[in-house]
Parts: sequence; C-alpha cells; structure tokens
Amino acid sequence: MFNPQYFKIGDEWLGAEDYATEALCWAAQAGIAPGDIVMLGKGNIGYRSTIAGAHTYDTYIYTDGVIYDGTLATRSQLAYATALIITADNVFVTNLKLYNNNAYRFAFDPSGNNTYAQYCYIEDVSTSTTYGAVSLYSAATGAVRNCDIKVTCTQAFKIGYDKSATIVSNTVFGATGTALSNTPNSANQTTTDNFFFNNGTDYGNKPASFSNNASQDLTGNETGYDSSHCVDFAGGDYRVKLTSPLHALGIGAFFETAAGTNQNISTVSSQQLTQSQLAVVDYSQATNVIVAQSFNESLLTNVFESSNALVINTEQQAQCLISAIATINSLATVTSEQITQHSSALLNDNQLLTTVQAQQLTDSIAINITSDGVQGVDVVVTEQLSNAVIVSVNEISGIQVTVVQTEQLNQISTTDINLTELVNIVIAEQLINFNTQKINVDLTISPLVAQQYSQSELITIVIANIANQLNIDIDQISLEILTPRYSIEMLTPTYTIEHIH
Amino acid sequence: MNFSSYNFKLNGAQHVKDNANTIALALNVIKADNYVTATGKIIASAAMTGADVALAANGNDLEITINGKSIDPTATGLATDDLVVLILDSVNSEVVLCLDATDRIVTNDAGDTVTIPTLQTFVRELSVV
Repeated sequence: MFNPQYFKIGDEWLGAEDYATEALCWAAQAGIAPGDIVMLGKGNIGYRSTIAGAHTYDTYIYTDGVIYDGTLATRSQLAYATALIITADNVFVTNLKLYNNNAYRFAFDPSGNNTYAQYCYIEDVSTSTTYGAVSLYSAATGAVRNCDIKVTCTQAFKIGYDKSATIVSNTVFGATGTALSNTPNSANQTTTDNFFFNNGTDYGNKPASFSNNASQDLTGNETGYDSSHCVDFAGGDYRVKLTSPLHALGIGAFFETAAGTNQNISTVSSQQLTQSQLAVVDYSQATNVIVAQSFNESLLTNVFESSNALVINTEQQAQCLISAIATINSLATVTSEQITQHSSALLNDNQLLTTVQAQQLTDSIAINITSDGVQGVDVVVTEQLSNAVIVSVNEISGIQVTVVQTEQLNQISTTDINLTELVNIVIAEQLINFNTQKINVDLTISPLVAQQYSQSELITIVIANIANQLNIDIDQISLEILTPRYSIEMLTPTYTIEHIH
Repeated sequence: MNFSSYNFKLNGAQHVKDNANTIALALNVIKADNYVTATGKIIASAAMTGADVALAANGNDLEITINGKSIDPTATGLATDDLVVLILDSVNSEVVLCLDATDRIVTNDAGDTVTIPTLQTFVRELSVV
C-alpha cells in the first residue's frame, strides 16, 4: 500500500463511520486521497452502488476485523454490499459479503482492469436466467479467488467472450443451469482449483487453462464430489473436509484445519552431586554403599553365588544401582578416594563380609568361602605392600601357620586351607584407622590340636612356632590373635579360603 | 538419560546461561554421542537465550531453572524411545545438558505441538566423600 488512507464505512459503525457507503467514500476521496483508499466496512456498506472513475492509487474494501474462513461464524460478521458494480481500475474487494436478489443485476460486477474479489462470500438468490452472481463479462483482467459462491439463479458466472477471467479456488453451488461456461479454449481465461457441485451442470465450455477442478457431475477434472465433502454444508460450514481427497488436492475455497494436539513433555529435576551419596537398598537386608568422588568406577561383583553383578558408578552420578545381594545379612562397603580396583568376593548364607579398602591400593582381593558357618571373616587390604613371604610351620605339632609378611607387599599371598583347618586372617602393619585393618598372617590349626588346648595355650604354641621356626615378629602376631573377635574355640573346620591375591 | 558437558562441570551453571542457545526434544541420546550425532536425534527444537536461564540459591545448593517452550515438532517419537531434553550451544557444537523426560509417543500431525516444561536442576553443596 502506498500511504494508505483509512475510512470507516457502513451503518454498523453506529455514527462513527466516515462515510455511510463505499460509493460515498469513493466519490469523496477518489482522485483526492494522497494514497491508497482503504475502506473498513461494518454492516451494510452499500446498495447497488457503482464505483466508477479514477484514482491514482489502489483501493481496498474489506470488513473491519474479520477474516472470512468459509464458516458460518465468520460469514455472519462480514460487511455486505448489494449488487456492487466496479468500473474503476485496481479495486480489491476482500472479506466481504456480496449479495444480490435482483434478476437484472449481479452480486459482483467488476469491469475495471485489475479488479478482483478474494475471500468473499458471494450470494445471488435471484431467479435470473441471464445474469448471475459474478460478471466477468466485460472485465479486462477480472478475477475471483477463494470465494464461496451460492446461487439460486441459472449461472454463477457470466463470462464475456474471450475476456480475461481468472476463476481460482472457489466453492460454487446451487446454479440451476451451467454454473460456469468459459469461452472454448480461450487462452485469456483460467479456471483452476475450483469445487463445483449441486449445479445443473458444473462446468460448460472450458478454457485452455482448466485444471484441478472438482465437480459433482462428469464435467470437472475430478468428478463425483458433492456437498458431503464440505465440513457441514447444511450447517453453513463450506470448508473442504480434512478427510476429503479434495483437501489434499487443494481444491476449494477454504479448508478445514487440523486442530492439532499439544503434547506436554514431563521432566524430573536433576542434580549435579558434589557430595557423597548414601544409597540404602533393602533386599531382605540393608546394604549401605558410600560412593565417593573422583572415581571412574567402583565394581563389586559376585557378592553371592547366583547373585547379579553390582556396579556402582560414582562420578557425578545421580543414582546408584544395587541389586540382588541375596541373603547376606549385611554388607558394608567403604571405599575411599583414588582406589583403582575393588574387591570381589563370594559369600554363602549367614556370613558376614566386611571389606575395608584403604588408600592407594593397587591390588584387589578375592575370597571364596564355600562352606556354611556362623563366623565372620574380615578382610582388609593394606597399602603399599611390595613383598610377600610365605612360610609354613611343619605339621609335627599339628599346627600349621602360614605367615605373610606385612610390610611393602605388592601382592597378597594365596593360602589353601582344607576343610578341617581353622582360619584366621589378621592384617598387619601400615593401616591406620580401621579396626579390621590388619591382615597378613594366616594360621591353620587342626581341630584335633585345637580341642586339646585353650585359646591362650594355642596362642602360645603359635607364637612359639613362629618365633622358633619362622623368625617373624612375635609381638605383632600375638597381639592380633588376641583380638577378641576370633575365638579359637568356636572355630570349626568348615572354611576354605581358596585364593587371596 | 541425564548428563552434562565437561565445560558445564568445569565452569559451572553460568556456562549454561552464557552459552546455551537452543532447547530441543530428542530421542535416545547417550553421553557418548558427539554433537552431530546428538543433534541428529532431535525431533523438536527452539531458540533460547541466556534470559531463559535463571540461577538462584536454593538453601545450600544452586538451582538452575530453564524456561520451557512450546514447539512444533519436526518428527515423531515412539513410547519405546528414550525421550530427553537437550540444552545446546550450537556456536561451539556442545550438548551442555541432557535431561531425562518421561517417555511418551510424540506425534507430528498438522497443528501438533510439544510443550517442554520449565527445567530444573541443582548443583549440590559439597560434603565429605
């Protein structure tokens, strides 16, 4: 638009209108307004008016604030003109109702150059046999696009011989005769994307450009389409149904739009952990797992025969996965920083495993206990061990003692003890804080021997053997064995520690 | 699937506010995906700015709140797909955050939209390891 000049027209402005009709507005402003004339219509904007003459700029006439979409709701709000004649050039009529009930008039009669109607509802309820709803009889470049056209007269369009007539995307129904008859093979006329139905004949003579037109009869490009392809023809909704093939073909004036579905996405709050996380899993028992930072992975597997692997991913994680601890009474795993490996152990029923790992371990420990029992076994792995020394006491005294030297070990000894032997594992030096951090002496005592002595006597014998035959630190060994947790009298020949790394 | 980029961990929550420019709904994104792979799994996306990101104290924690968006999807999702919301930095080709969403069917018929709710994540207080 060029510097548009807006004018209110029509009787429903209730006194606020600039002009009562479009013809009065045109008469006052044509050739005078310093730009496009824009008429904002409300209600009745003119009766059998003629817009004739010249204006330097374009002219627009439409309903103020209403977009016609083929439904009764918007149609009922359209401003309306009766038998509008336009002989001026460049007049564009949109979103209006163009009406006629006179047998000698058209609802819309444009004859100027470059004048068209679009998004309009055009209705001719006359009984004319020679006129119709729209005249493109003398228009040089007239056009009707995207209009619903309802007629009761003989024809919807009256087309002049070889005149330019562009009829595109209209829905037309009700003509008693031939709704549209072009000049045969005229190159100046275009008829495309129209939906004609319920007419005497939908299409008569066809121009050179005649394509993608639907009809109820056999005259269209797509045939057999009637009012059932409208959303609600009886209810005044003339839009093409979403489910109609015409919808996909783009045939018709207006189209039903999919309502669409709004799909709500649900999320849960997440968190970046900068603290350790305590996860309590109750699988007929309580298991506490404390996971620390900076771990790449902590792995505890084979906790119980037939149990599933337990994987704890620690770094910045939001969850811990613990499963199938089976019937272990309690399992407490405490891991500290910068541990690169973790223990694996197999336990049977009713046994207690406490695994405490200290800092900077480089080795892992695996313990397989194959027999049932009620005693607890504590396994503690020490740090910075570099040497392993395995010594044995001869069997003459009925006592076997296997001692693994404690300091600077790189690996833990492997000790085989048969089912008739007694096992204690005591962990030795360089552990600081944990009360179970003392391993590295393995003692085996035959039950026959054990039954003959009290605990203190057994300790004395062990110490004596160690001192006399193995040349190890007597004070240290005697101290650990005296730890009250392991009662020699209670020990029964039921355990086998098969492998310790 | 929940994860964050290294730069998020390195620079903290402000990294989201300073760099995130796209919020997206995607399917089956895993942490090992690179940016191209992850963004290839997007079914709906919309632009966002630092103004969509709010950082606020919440007790001893820091709470990150990211405005949701209603978006016209470009593809569909199945109930079996792992639905996630991505916060992206397209300038530096970085998946800043990947936040899990409840899996559901996502349709892409005419007029369909998806509404991503306001996202919430926390950076927790330090504590003993």
